[in-house]
Amino acid sequence: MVETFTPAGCGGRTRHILAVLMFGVGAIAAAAALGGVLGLGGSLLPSRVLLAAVAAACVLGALRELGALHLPLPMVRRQVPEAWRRERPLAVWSTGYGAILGAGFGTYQPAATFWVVCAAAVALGRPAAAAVCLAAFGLGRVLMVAFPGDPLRRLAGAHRALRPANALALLVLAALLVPGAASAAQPVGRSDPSALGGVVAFTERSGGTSRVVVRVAGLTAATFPDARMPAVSGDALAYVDALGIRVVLWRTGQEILRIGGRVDTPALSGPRIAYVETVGPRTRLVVRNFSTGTVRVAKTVGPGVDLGRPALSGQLLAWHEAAGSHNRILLRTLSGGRTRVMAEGRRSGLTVNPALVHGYIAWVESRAERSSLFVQRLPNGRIRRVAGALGPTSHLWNTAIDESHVYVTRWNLVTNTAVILRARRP
Amino acid sequence: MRRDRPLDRAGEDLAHRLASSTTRRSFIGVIGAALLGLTADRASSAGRAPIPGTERVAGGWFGFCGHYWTTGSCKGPYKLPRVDRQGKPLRPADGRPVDDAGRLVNDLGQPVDEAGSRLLGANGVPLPPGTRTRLCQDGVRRRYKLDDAVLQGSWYRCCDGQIRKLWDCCSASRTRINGDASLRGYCYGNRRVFCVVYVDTGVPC
Repeated sequence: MVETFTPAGCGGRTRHILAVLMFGVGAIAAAAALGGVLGLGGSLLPSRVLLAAVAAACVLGALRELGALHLPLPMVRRQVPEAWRRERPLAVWSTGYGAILGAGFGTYQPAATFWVVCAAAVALGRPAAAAVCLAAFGLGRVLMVAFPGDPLRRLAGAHRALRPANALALLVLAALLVPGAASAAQPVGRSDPSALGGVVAFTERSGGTSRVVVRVAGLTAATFPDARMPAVSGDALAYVDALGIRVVLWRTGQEILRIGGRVDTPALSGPRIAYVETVGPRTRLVVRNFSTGTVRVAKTVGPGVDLGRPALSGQLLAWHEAAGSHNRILLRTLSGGRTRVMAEGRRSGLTVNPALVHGYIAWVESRAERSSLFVQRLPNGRIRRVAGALGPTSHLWNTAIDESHVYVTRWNLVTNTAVILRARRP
Repeated sequence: MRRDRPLDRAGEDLAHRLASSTTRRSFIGVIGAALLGLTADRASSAGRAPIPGTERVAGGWFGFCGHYWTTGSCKGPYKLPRVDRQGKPLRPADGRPVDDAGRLVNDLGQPVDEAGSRLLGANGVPLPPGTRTRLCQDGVRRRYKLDDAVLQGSWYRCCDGQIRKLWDCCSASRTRINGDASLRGYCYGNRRVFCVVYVDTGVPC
């Protein structure tokens, strides 16, 4: 069929170009749609099992390519409907052919690789990413008809070399996937955003380890290994490592403060750092001025109460307290000591994880399986919902807000994968 | 003291009635019975353990972190109803899979020891796999004859540094595991909360 995509077969150069273009649209769209569906299905399944299945598919595929295993592949054992080219308009048959070939299983499938890719799309668990990956398959289909001459015949002639190479590639992929399958239960992805003045920092997790990444447009990202939970303010970066909290100048890595002990979740603003410290059974929220050395305990709570990740902006300190049937977000003016309740949840609602920037506060509220990101202009502006997620798959957690955007971590609770969402600040 | 006040007359009447209806022996008997009843009640209350998942714990929760209502835990091999994403039991302390008898099991469901080696019987032969059923969909249906028990709605809390999913086991029964009236909770359709389980997702919070 492919040989009909020629000026002679299409009836002129222009029609040939149109046919190839429409074939391309059909092929890429069908492949992307297939990838989206597979990725969506995979997002509902446990990643560890899926990765193991992909590794097994790679091995089976490699054995098949080497001729060591006779494994029939699911396919429609026929060509595309040749009659379409005579009976239908060019736009219909060329797009239709593209869709059939782009979907992969509509005609003969000589190699197992397509099915391995489909399994990988399921394991990816992300519809958009899987759609992009499968779209590349569709693009490959387009290149077969777009290249002059007869690329398929040339490829067929090289199959003696191609099949072993294909088998080797599948085996290498299987070897890479095995550690992933073993550690897939570990959280992966990007989370815990912090942002200010065009600088964005976050935790990046993979393979059981984490690092802090600091990004600024136009600069190479700065990374800090074995670290997590960053807070950025100007040139200063605070993060949590094995020894406690470390504050550095992120451009040079020079350390300016070290806080030891059972400390976590720092927040930075100017010369002040706020963090949560566990002392025996109690947890306290501490604010330290590393210019003057003063240390103040803003709040102490008992066992079982979650203080979460505080937020600092100038003289404002925000944090959440969550325990039992009560939870709330509090905002305190450090100079005056006055505290107000910004948001409150009772049994079924949870308000947590505030973020602050001059004049604005953001937080996450969840009710049952639904979580939402809210932003409010201080002191008493209208509360606006800017993002949402629905369980049991997705859940919003840590937040950040800067001069123009608001950020939130969205966790996939099936695959334990995190991404950071960004929305324009209302 | 004037004798014609109402309180005085009432007291006098009571005294007359007691004197005419109660002997010393019967009076002591009444006091004894009251004391016995009081101590028996206290003894029986102390002996009756609260339903798992209903006792108050640190942080204002019921039974375990994240559980803010009074419905009891679904019955399983451990007091804490920790499960995996399919609803099958896990050892609460470390999340290792266990069977219905509470034994650690491997990926094939075979009982193993702490190191992962097969448990042996008295004759030295590895023990065969036991059953490992879902606390809600299988256990509640089997124990309480509630054929429609399913895991439905859930909510999330930060517990021990990771996000915990708390999950309602729901059925059409109007009685919950506590023995009293069931609540709507996060169940939907015509179902109500019968008992509760939880999943530790491992997502840091």
